[in-house]
Amino acid sequence: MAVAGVFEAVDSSIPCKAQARIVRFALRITVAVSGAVIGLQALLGPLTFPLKVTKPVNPEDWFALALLTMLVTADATKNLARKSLPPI
Amino acid sequence: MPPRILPENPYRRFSRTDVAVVFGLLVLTITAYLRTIDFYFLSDDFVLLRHAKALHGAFWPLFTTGGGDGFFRPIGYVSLAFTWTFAGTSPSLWHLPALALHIANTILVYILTLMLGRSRLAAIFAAALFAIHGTRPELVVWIAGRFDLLSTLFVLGGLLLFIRSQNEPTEIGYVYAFGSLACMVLAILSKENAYAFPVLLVLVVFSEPIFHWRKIIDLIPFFIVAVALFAYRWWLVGGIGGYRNAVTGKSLALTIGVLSALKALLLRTWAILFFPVNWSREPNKVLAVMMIGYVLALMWFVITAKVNRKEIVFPLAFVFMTALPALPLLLIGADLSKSRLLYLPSVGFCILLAAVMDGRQGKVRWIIPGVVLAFHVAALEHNLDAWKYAAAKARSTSAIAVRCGGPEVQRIVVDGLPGTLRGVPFFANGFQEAVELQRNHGAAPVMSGLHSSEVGSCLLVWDGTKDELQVVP
Repeated sequence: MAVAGVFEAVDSSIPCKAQARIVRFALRITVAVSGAVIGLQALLGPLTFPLKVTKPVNPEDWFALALLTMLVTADATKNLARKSLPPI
Repeated sequence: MPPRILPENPYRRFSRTDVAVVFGLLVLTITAYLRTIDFYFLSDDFVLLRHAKALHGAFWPLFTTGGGDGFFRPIGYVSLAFTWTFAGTSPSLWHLPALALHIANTILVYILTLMLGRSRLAAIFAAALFAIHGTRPELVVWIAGRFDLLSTLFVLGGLLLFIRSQNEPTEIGYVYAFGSLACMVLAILSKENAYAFPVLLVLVVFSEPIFHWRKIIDLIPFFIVAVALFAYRWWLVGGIGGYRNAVTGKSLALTIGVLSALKALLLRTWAILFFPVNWSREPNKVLAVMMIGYVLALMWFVITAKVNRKEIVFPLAFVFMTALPALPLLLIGADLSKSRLLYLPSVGFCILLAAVMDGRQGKVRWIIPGVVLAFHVAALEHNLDAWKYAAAKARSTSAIAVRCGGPEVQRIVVDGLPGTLRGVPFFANGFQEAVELQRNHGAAPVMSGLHSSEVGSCLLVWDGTKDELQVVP
C-alpha cells in the first residue's frame, strides 16, 4: 500500500535508523510512567504525591498516544533488530 | 504479505463454527446488558419520545425539512417513530431495539474482521471487544444513541456488500455494489458520521493485494451521491448545521482550532478507546486491579508486537476517517459524556487490536485478549452503575415534580437541576416532557430558577448532597 510504502521509506532513511532507538526508549518510558499513574490512580484514588492527579485524563492521553506510536513503528523496530545497532 | 481484504474463497459460507460464534456473541451481549433493560429514560430521551409520538406516521416531512436542531437524520426519526408504535412509554421496550441493533453491529464486526483476512480467533476478539467496550452505555441505554446504532449498522452492511461486490462476476457484483450504495444513503440519513463511507471504500480498494485504478472509478457514484446528499442537507438546514456555540451562535464545525482538533484526534479519541472508564466515581477495587493488569498487558502486547504495518493501516485510517465528522465534539472528558460518537470509530479500534493479536503465537494469543476483555467487562459494569443510578434518580425526580403539580398549581419552578449526574445525561433537556410522561397528560409548565414565588407555583430545589429534588414549602 502507498501509505505503508511511505513509512518504509522513512524507516530506511539513515537519520531515522539512528534515532529510532532513542524514540523507542522515550516511548517506553512514557508508556511506563503514564501507565503507572493510571494504575495508581485507579487503586489509591486521587494522587497528591509525587504528582497531583485527580482525574487521569492526561496520563491516559499520553499512554494511548505512545502505545499507538509504538504500534505504528513496530516495523522499524524489526529493521533495527536486524541491523543490531549498539544500545543507547 | 499484503492484507487479504477478500477471503481466499470468495464463496465461503458461514460454517457451523461461525454460527456457534455468532450465538456466543449474542449470549455475551445480552448477558452484559440484561440489567439495562428496565433503566428509566434520561434527558433527551423524553424529548425524542414526544417527537416520536407526535409523528403519527407522517414521515415525508422528515425528508423534506431540516431538523430545528441543525441535524438532518430522517431515518433515525422514522426508526424512533416505529418504535413508539409498539413501545409507547415502556423503557424496556425502548431498550430492546437498541440492544438488538447493537447485537447486529457486533455480528457485522465479526464478519468484517473475517473478510479482512483475520483469523477466526481475532475476529471473535474484535467482535467481543466491540460488544462490551466501556463506551457502550450511551448507545444501548440512551435512546438518543439510536442514530449512531443505525448509521453504524448501515456503514458496516455497506462495507461488507462492497467487499463482496469486488468478488463477484460483473452483473452480480453490480447488484452488491448497488446494495452498498443504498446502505450508504441510509447511513448518511441516519447520522452525519456516515459521510466518511466513500473514503472507507477508498481504503478498502487501496488495501487489496492487486490495485486497479479502474476500481477507483467504481467509487465515483458513491462520492457523487454523498456530495449530493451533503448539498441537500446544506440547503435544508441552511449551512453546515450541527451543534452551535452557545455564545457566538456559530457552528462548532467551523470554529474548532487546529490544536483542539489534533488533541481530539490524536489524544482524546485514543485515550477513550483504550480507557473507557467513567471517572466521575472512583473505580472499585476489582476494576482497579483489572486496570493494572490491562495496562501491563497492553505494554507487553505492544513492546513485543510483531506487526505487519500494512495490516494496521486500514483499521487506523478507519478510526481517523470515521472520527473526523464529529471532530469538534471529540474532546471527551473523564466522565465519557458524548462517548457514543466513538461507536463507529471503535470498529477500527477493535480490528486494530485483533490485527496485533493475530501476529502473536502461543499462549500470549489467548492471555492478553482475555485480560483486555476482562478489563472492558469491569469498566462496562462500572459505567453502567452510573447509568443505573442516574436513571433511578430521573424516575424519582420526575415523580416528585408530578406529585408537586396538583390541580391548583399553575407552574412548577425548579432550581439547580443538574444537566449530568455522575457523568450521565440527566436533565439537561426534557424535564417538562418527563413530568408530562409520568402524568400521562399535559403538566403545568416547568420553569427554571427560583425567581417566581407567585401564588400557584410549586417550588422545587435540587439537593446535591442527596441527589434529590426537595419541595420548598
